[in-house]
Amino acid sequence: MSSVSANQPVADHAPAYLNDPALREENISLEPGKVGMVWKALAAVGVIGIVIAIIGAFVLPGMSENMTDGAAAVHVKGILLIGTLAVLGFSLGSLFFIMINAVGGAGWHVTMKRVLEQAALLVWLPALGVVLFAITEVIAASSDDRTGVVSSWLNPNIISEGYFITKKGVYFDPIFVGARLAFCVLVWIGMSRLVWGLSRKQESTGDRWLTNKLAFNSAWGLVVMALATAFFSFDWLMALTDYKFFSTMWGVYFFAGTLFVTFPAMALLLTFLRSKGKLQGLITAEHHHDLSKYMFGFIVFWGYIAYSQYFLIWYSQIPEETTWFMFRKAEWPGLTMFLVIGHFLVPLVLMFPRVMRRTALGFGTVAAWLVFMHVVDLYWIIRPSLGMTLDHPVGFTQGLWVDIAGIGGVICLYTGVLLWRLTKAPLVNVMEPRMPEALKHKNYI
Amino acid sequence: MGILGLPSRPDHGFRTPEGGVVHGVMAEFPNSAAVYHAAEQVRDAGFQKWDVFAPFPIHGIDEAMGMKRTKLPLIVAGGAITGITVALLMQWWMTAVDYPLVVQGKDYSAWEPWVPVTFELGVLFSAFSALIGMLALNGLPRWNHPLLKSERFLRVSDDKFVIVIEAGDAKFQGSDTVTMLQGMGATAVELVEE
Repeated sequence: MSSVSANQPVADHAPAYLNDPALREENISLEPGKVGMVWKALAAVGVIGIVIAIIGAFVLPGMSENMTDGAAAVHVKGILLIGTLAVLGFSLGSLFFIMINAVGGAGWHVTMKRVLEQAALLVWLPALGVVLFAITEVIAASSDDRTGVVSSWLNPNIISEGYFITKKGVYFDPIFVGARLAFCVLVWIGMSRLVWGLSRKQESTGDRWLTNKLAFNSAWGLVVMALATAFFSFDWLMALTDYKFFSTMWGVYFFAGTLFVTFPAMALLLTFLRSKGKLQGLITAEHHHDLSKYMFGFIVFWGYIAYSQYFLIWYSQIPEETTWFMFRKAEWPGLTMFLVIGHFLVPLVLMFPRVMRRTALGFGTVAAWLVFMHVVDLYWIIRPSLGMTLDHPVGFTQGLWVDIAGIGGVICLYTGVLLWRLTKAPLVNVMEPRMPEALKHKNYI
Repeated sequence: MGILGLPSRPDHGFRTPEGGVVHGVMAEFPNSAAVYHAAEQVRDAGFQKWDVFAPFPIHGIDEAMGMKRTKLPLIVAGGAITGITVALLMQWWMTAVDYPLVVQGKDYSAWEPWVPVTFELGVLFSAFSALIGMLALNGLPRWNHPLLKSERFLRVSDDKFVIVIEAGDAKFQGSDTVTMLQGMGATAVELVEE
């Protein structure tokens, strides 16, 4: 491959499609002035939301006298983790989607590939959030009164039990857990920077063989990404909520969630960019149609995964597994039913008509709903368990506004930073060798 | 319309010189571009009962022919809803009404075990309705077709492109239609007997 790669300057072999008016400079570059107010406002709202959540958790009624068990700290840390995992899903899903398309040799998506790359490159922000969360966990667990710990496997009331020490103690040794987290974060940031670097290099040199290089690296990269993401979800989502609970489907469940949120979030982001007069003729109803098909596919995929996981646990009746679902069904029945209906049944039926998949009003409405439902999914996983081991978990039900401020704050901050990053590079890599295919993309059925 | 939506053969009065009933006229075109542009003109002339035949799928021919989207999805949706309803009723009646049996201490009417069968029956009925609906909308099965009598028509499975306008079309005007097709660049036009 390298012997063929010539790294010739663009002018020597400029392809004819570069004259396409859709690829003109002002259509594919986002001037800072266009979104300057938007991203600053979003980032400010995000920071204010996070601050409100932190302060709010400590001034909630009933919290001051319960401070001895660290309930307020557990609450706000859990809430910020929900928001962080939601935006982490978008970054990871974008990275997965780029790599899957690279391995598959897809061409239709290259007009949106740069925006996907920007979202993937921003994975460091939620990864930083998770690392900060992990550090506060370790500090809380090693403090004198050992309060304010969210993770069930770090909780002092639990790790003294014999079952934990004999069965899972080695796996949850703090150094091993930290090493796994470091591996996951390094893989995510490394892969996102690799994808970004190849795209930027191709843009400046016009070297079309870099697309093959991306495909090669994506092939092994997907395996490493799958392992990193699965084990991350075991540690920081599955075992976090209940160390006894385990499901071999959990890695797939988390992966399904990442792509479940990526397609609607990308559809909304692209629609926003088009409303600013960008990507005209590059992202058409045809591209949105395919994004909507993916949305539909992952509604079904999530439903399939979530049901299968629940069904097998329901049938086999292993106590440490069923308690996880029983607790959510018994204590949060409304939220559980809302998840089944809102995350699967309603969007499934809404996405049936073709017109819903092709018009901005149709897929935009469903996309906003899907992003919301992905947050509800994470909320349903994490939120019920936050009060489980505390002496006074009652106050939690009063703090919905804290939850909204915290989760919304993280999402706004992430979106603001992403919009700011989008102004830093062209919105399209015009030297993508499959650009002509994406320019002419059309659904014949 | 005939039985079950299958096309009937109304006598429109057009006869071949030998006295047979005319099915329509068949125009042969040398390549896909020629047949594509001819199809646009036939569409714009307002014909309804006509079709294009080609050795391979031509991108955009649907628009050139002014084809409407198929009604098949509605038929399949009907099949899916029927399958889901039948599956749920069947399982509820069997496990909760007709022969209640305690399995693993679960409720008789627990919905969880019903989901796989409901899904499968929904898919099965969808597949049946898709196949049967497609056949019915295409007027299939049928024993024969008048076009298969034409030697010239056989070459659409090789290297020729053909437009057929049926005599039953309200706009069909015999020799005027033949002249129209010749004007569109047809290399040969022939009459097809019913």
